[in-house]
Amino acid sequence: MTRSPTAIMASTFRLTLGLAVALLVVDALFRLLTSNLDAIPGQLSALLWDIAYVGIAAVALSILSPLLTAAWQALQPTAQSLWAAPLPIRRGFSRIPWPWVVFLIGAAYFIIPLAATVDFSLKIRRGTYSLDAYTSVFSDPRFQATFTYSLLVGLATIVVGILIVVPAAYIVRLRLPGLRPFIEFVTLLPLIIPAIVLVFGYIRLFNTSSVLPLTGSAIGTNLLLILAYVALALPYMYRAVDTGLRTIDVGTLTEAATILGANQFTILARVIFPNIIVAVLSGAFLSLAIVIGEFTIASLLNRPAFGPYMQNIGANRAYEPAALSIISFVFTWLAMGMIQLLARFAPKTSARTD
Amino acid sequence: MADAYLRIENLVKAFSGNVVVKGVDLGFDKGEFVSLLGPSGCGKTTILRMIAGFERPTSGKITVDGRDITHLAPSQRNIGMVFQAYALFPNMNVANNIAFGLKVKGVPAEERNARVTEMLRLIGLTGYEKRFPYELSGGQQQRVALARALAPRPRLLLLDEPLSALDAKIRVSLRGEIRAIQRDLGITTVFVTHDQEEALSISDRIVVMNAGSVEQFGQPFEIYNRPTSKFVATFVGTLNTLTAKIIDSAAGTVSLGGQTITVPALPKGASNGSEVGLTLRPETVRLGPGSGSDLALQGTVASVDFLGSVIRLKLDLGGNSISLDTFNDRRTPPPALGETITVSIAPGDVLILGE
Ligand SMILES: Nc1ncnc2c1ncn2[C@@H]1O[C@H](COP(=O)(O)OP(=O)(O)OP(=O)(O)O)[C@@H](O)[C@H]1O
Ligand SMILES: [Mg+2]
Repeated sequence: MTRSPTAIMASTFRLTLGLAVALLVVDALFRLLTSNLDAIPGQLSALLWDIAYVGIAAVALSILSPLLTAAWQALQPTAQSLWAAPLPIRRGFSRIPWPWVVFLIGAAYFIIPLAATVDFSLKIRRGTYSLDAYTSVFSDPRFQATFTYSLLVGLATIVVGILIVVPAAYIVRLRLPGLRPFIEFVTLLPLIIPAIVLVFGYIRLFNTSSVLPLTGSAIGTNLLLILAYVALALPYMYRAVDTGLRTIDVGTLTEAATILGANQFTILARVIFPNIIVAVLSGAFLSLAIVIGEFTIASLLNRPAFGPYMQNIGANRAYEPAALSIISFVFTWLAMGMIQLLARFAPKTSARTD
Repeated sequence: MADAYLRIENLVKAFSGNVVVKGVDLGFDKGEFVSLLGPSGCGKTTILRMIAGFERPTSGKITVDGRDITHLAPSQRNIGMVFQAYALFPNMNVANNIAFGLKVKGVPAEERNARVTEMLRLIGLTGYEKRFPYELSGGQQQRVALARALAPRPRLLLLDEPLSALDAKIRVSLRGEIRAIQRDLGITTVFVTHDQEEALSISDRIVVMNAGSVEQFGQPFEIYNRPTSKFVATFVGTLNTLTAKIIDSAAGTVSLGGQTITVPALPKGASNGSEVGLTLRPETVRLGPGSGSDLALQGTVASVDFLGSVIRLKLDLGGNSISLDTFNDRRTPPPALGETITVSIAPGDVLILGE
């Protein structure tokens, strides 16, 4: 049922190219109709660039397609039929493989702006490509300071998050399974309540004239920022930890450790946590990816974080912001890649009968 | 019973009003291997979990060596337990799994390592220290689980269907190993199973349970040959039931297939002329007419199951049907289907059971 990677690449390339040509025709018509005669040469060169982008996107997508297929199939076994089904011999409208059209539009929507940003970030010098924008970003002391700050806050968020979420998810699973839907709803609240509402609430609650004047000092504000980020990361952390707990028999492992004389803390630290560490870390990397570029809360609490720095650069420079976005994008993808990599090291459970 | 090592007194457990253990009284001797046997849902696991401390009894008392442990936390009871699903810690290798109980008790590393080595020798897995659970077969995992339970020298060993996740062959060999290790250490053991053959083959004594109550408590030989209730008789082993007519209840004579036989004991108050169920084990029915006071019956062969060493025949006796076991004999082929043959029963083998 599975097709070879080259076959997948070839069919993706064909489909993408078909779509790209259609897009370009529309694009060309639009440009020609909306510009005056003397601007046409400029428009033509822009059109050539567009052709190049779309071509690159098609090639990139084709190269990635076996990977995407593998991921897709892992997610959803029925998706196999998408690749495996022989192209149906039909006429007219129904000959177009609609699921693919939708998928490619989605992919193009994602890849084309990215390719454009990369291109732009390399064009700081007239007429040639260079990495100067990146050099400039990396050598900016504010970049280093804010990035380090956000990284540290991110790590603190992860530690505090783990200390709160792991025991909570464990207890809920073990002793209060009836409470799970409620807890799940609570952990989703940060996705529903905008960050700005959260931070204004915090500022009101913990201002200098309050019982707990956290905003009065830098340390207090840092603490508040970390706690706010813990709240932001809650949906991801809780879900990741809960998924990890689902892969082990929490109840029986707890009983096995209890009858051997272990107390609750020992069980959590030596039995439960090491078995869900991969799930915990995947939640942690996801949280890190969110926290690193967070703008609203950091800005309103007036912290020297990476998000506000990016915004500041974006408002004042032309090429560096593009380089910055690419850097943070790469960082995010590295974090995601780490999650995949870690999955290999998960302790394996075994229910053999031989 | 008074000086039993593990004593369970009037133990009751109700889950939200649903009483699943109904006043159980049991006493096990030190070093004894006792099986809790019964159909699914009869409360075996619940009793075991109350002994372990995972369930709080609704009422009743559990004592070990004269000490009341009813309200002690599981971690304070010094009991070893083996679970059906092995429950090895996936993140630890074999040595660390076995050493876990010693580690949490603060046993120094040297003593711990010596104990791990000793345990590995006991379960025949020397050299497997560094393996992780997923690198072991099911049988090996369960042996490691046994070693882990035994390493801290518990006062009691509890096993909840430890073999039921395993394939048939391993199940048989591992139960022998468990029994040998238990004899070796002389540890008082409670073994839960719903497999009657397993219980019969490895136990010193068996508790047969039904719907939260103890039906019978005794040695395997006793349970099998002298079941005190119909439930025990049918649950443990196969049983034939023949309907006979009482001729004289005082003399204990009944009529079966037109012949009069004297049976050991008839239920009290049975009136002459009423029907009574005679039960007997398949292996007490013999091929051929028998001798002396044996009752000879004629029937047609309804089915022949060749089981290897044993051949199980089903006979149609006209109104009654009967199973009988006979040993395989390579010189005499078994009777053919539809053949009419004579079988005999010794009246002493007939059981008359109340409900
Ligand atoms: N935590 C619980 N809450 C409610 N009812 C329970 C609970 N645990 C067990 N029961 C009920 O108690 C009864 C006895 O259960 P138990 O697990 O002791 O049976 P068992 O003899 O071990 O059966 P099996 O051979 O299937 O393991 C069952 O009817 C079960 O549904
Ligand atoms: Mg059970």
